[in-house]
Amino acid sequence: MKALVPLPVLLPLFAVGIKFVLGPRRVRMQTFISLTVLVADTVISTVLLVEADRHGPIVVQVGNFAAPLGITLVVDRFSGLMLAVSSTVTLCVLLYSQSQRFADENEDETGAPLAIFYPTYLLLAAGIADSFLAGDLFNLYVGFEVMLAASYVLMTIGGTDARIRHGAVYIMVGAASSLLFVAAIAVAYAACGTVNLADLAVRLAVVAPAARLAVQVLLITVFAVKAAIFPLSAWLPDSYPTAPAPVTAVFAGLLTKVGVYSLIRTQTLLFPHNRQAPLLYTVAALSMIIGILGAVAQADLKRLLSFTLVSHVGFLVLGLAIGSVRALSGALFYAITHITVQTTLFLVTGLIERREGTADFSRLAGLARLAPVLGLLFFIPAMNLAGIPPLSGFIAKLALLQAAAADGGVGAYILLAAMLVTSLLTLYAMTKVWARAFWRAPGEGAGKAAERQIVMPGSDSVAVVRSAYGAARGIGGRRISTSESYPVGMLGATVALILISLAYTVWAGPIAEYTERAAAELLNPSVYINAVHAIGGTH
Amino acid sequence: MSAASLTLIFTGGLMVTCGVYQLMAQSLTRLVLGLIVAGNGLNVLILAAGGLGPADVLTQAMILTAIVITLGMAAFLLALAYRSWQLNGDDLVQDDVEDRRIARAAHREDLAGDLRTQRAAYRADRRAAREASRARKKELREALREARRELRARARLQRAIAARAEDYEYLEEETESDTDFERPPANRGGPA
Repeated sequence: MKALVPLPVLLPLFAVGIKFVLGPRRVRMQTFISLTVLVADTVISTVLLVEADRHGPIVVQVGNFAAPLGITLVVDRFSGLMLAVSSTVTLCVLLYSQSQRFADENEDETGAPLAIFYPTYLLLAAGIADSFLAGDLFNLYVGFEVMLAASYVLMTIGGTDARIRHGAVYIMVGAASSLLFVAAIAVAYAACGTVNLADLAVRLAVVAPAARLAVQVLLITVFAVKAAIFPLSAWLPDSYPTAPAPVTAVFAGLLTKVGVYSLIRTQTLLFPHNRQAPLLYTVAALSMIIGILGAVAQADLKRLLSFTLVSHVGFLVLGLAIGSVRALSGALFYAITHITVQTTLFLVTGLIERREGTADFSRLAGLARLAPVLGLLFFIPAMNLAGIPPLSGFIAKLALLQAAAADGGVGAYILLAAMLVTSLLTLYAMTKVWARAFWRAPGEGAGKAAERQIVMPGSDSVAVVRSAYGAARGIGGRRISTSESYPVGMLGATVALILISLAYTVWAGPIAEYTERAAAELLNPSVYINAVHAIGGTH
Repeated sequence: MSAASLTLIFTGGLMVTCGVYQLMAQSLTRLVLGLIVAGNGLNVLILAAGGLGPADVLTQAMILTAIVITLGMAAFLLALAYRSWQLNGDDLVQDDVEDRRIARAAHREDLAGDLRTQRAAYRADRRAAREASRARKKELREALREARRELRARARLQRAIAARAEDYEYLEEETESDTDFERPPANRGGPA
């Protein structure tokens, strides 16, 4: 069983190597390899999830080197769950993009993005898996870097004007937060002489409180940037919408969740008695409220969804802030629901773009009559995001609400109110999209395009207008092909994700029990620490 | 703490400071420089964190990894800066969309403010001109009225003179012959 643990990282990396050897011309072979690897990833993660649930955390010292030198990989219930969900989502998005690619053979005259997209995508998958598996702080950093480097390439793929400009912001924010991460590692290493998470957990309990606080605040800041928690979230809605639809989908679903995962992991494991509850309460509430207010103000579907993403990451931080078993369990349930739902919504946006050539819903109209299938595909995840019963979003939010009420503190009640307001405003934002894009009479939204071409006096304002609405013509400055029908794979992948989110609803009982167990395990760090030390740490 | 590790800490700190200062810039090339300097400063700090003993393999491994990552990132960012320069002639990182929206709104507000002041000035000018023309018109009307009054007075005077002259003729005729008794008085003017 232990042999399986490194595979979710290794398989994609090997596949990337093989792909480069094969060269870009053997498209069928390339496709086959990508699909096989990600299917294998999904199966392996699911097996690991079940095993970790049955027998406790699975720990591997890579190459049998002992802990401080060797790399520790750990699968416990939390990381197993995230791993399984993320590999499933990655697989679905891969199917979607493969099908889109086969449908538009003319992607690029040089063929470059074709040759680069899939290897980079697999690297992204490897980075995500490594971040979930990492048992020490430095390996977590490496996992993040692999994932981020891949995401930089995917973000700027094609090298168009809009993508370069928006990508530069994204990359600089990512690079700056990585610097902070290195700083956190340096401080942790100076204070404790180790970067192994289990060892850190033991030693941080006895070091000077000031040193502990420094490590804790640095880590919170780093992961808050990666997870786009409010004061550090401005980069996200600005950069995500310019990327191609499948890329945005997988970023939105997974990258921020990796940040949230690391935040929850480090805070529960390393600082169980020093929760920065007031800080977390504040940022959770602000993320939720300000994020959703931002969403309400948007006219572009992708930007709107990006803002709801910022807003709903607040729910996950909220679970951590309250910190009871029920709250964390709710947060985990919400995390997997949100990964699936947010990815689905971006994929549906991709389908809308494919049909209409835009995702600007002041220009979209009458989709409910023109494309009823799209309506259904959008409606289910949108209602799930807003938390309408009986969908899984409602169940997870209910668990969080109950946890907040059970906590009973003033902060918890403020969060409870913020949660309700956010859900209501999410519903409002979704209804707005629905009323504009789907329910208006066809043709009513046309003619708005001219308004976008306002040119203002002043030296650079023309360029400002052009790049601000660069996504209005083509996506991210790149022309996209449109068609009345949808390729089977794109539709199939979207439907599959919707079915998965419905499965969360149908099997909510067993999943909630599982997340309860995972939360209990998180709140009892000795399980993790003992499992790592039993395998041969420094202690 | 040995002098050597103090030196390391100060060097590292200084490098991070310089790097962070560069990171405040808007040009991608400067950002890359900042990233490299700050990243290497942090590597020095990791070295300081591990102490100077030869035995600490872990710090060296971590630093090497971090160096490789920084190198890759710098290469990618330089390519990005080059591409940006190719496309736009500059390598500036733009402000985000909401910021630009706010800036545009502020610009619009400024323009509207300018327009308002200009319109107010124009209106004041118009009002002054209107006042002036009204005053002039009034003056002219007064003059006209005066002239008319004078004319009328003169006309009255002439009529009076004429009437008196007629009366005088009539009286003279009456004294010449009494046969013309029935003749009505012609052109008797109004009262003098």
